[in-house]
Amino acid sequence: MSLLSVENLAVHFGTHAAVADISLSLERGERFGIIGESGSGKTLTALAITGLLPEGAIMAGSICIDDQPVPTNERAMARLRGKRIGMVFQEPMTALNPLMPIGDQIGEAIRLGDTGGVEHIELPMLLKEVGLENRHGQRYAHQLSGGQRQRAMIAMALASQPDILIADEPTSALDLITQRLVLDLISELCTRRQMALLFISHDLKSVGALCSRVAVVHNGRFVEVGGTGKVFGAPQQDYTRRLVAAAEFKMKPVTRPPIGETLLEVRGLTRDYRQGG
Amino acid sequence: MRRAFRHPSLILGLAASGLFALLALVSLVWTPYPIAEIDIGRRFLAPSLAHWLGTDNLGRDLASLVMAGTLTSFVVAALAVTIGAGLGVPLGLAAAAWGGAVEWAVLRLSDFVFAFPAVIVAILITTLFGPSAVNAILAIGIFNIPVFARVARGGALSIKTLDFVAAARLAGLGNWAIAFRHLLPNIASLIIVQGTIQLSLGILAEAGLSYIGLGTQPPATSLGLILRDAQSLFLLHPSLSLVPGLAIVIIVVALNLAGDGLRDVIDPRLKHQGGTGVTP
Repeated sequence: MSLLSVENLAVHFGTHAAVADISLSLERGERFGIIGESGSGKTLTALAITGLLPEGAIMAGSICIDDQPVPTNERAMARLRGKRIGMVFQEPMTALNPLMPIGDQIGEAIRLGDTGGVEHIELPMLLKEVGLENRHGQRYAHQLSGGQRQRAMIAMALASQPDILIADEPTSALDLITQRLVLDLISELCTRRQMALLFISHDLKSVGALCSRVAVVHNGRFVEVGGTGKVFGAPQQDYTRRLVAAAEFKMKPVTRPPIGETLLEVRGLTRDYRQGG
Repeated sequence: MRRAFRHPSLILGLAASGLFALLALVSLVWTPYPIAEIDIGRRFLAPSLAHWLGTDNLGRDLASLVMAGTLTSFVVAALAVTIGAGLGVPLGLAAAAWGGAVEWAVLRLSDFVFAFPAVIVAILITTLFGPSAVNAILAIGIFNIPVFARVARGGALSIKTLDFVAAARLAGLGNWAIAFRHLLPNIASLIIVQGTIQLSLGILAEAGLSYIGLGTQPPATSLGLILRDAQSLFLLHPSLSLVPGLAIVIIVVALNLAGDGLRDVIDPRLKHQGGTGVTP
């Protein structure tokens, strides 16, 4: 019995098919990566699974959690997705309410996810788990750094103790070092909580570091699915080969000598910003 | 906050409207003369120490009348704004949060109400219940509902596309909770600015309704009513019309200045320019 199984998922906007014929299954604790270029339908797949598709999108196919089809009824879906699925969004600045301290937002998610059982979670515990301090709970999103915002976002996703964590390009707005820290955090949390991970990214390195299985998506279809090492090590499809080749990092020697005189010269430049109230 | 004090038109607007509001409040407990006191013997007096703005055709003290009239104007306009925002904002939020049929219904309803200017609504209500200040409040309030509904919907639509609304929905929050906990605080500045502008329009509308006899009735008074009493004497005693007229103009201009200034100060697009220092 798989935790999440998606069969023949398709998403249409009018006559335009954005996602077609996508099938995947996710076991408990498994980490599955979806990789592809911008606009290839990665995010729409995630939104379809969470039932957050934008207005005007038509969905076909079936999505089952624990072999139960997800309800189409909005109210039942709202109850289900909070408890089973947690989601981390791409841009943490817009994913946090700018007018609410992040502690309140995480608290709201805890209240909504609270089943009244023994596993009652406390805000300080949750903040500590994602590497934030108690004082960060009183801050607003704009008072936190990018990495801290993403940690707060992860805390919100964890609040209802979901079985599946969907991370939609959670690191693409962060610098390289912060990216690594956030990826390590996600990896650690998935191991500790035995959560399944659906990791969506265009970055081969982060997918390689996190996921055991990977699907390559192109023009709304899976072109290649398999173990991470196999897909990246010995790509079978032309598109995957191009993707792997594009991800290679080579320093090219600069071969163009400067022509003529100096065009732009910068000396001891300083720019100050006055801090307004 | 400091930016607010660097905005001269906001200061001017707030100060002038505050001054008139204060005069209006003072009239609750004290006016130089009772406004209903008629004394034909002292009519058409020029401004003097005893009567600061002179007296009208019935010997009533004009300064007292203007003070009490300002109170009526402010109360009518404020209650109308309360009605408009109280009904319009939830309607607009519902339209944005639910979309689909709810949105269609709200928009068509506001189109329908928009088709009737406040004067037509006032005539309708007057035909049914007779003229009074309460009717003016209802007429202007009904006129305000679609204005607030549209502003709230427009603001909420742009907030709704942000990921934190999706995150809240994912956490299991319903439409009403999302509308009031996440959308409303983010559009509050828009509502406040619109409220200030509707307040000035309300004062103008109240003056208009009282002027054509559909609003406040004597012995109570309002700025429009004073103007109406004075109009037939305009050529003989122009100051009787000028005083309430100028009062209306100053209040409306002041409120508009305050509204524009408020918009500049709390515009969400300007908000992130100052004080966003990231603290570790």
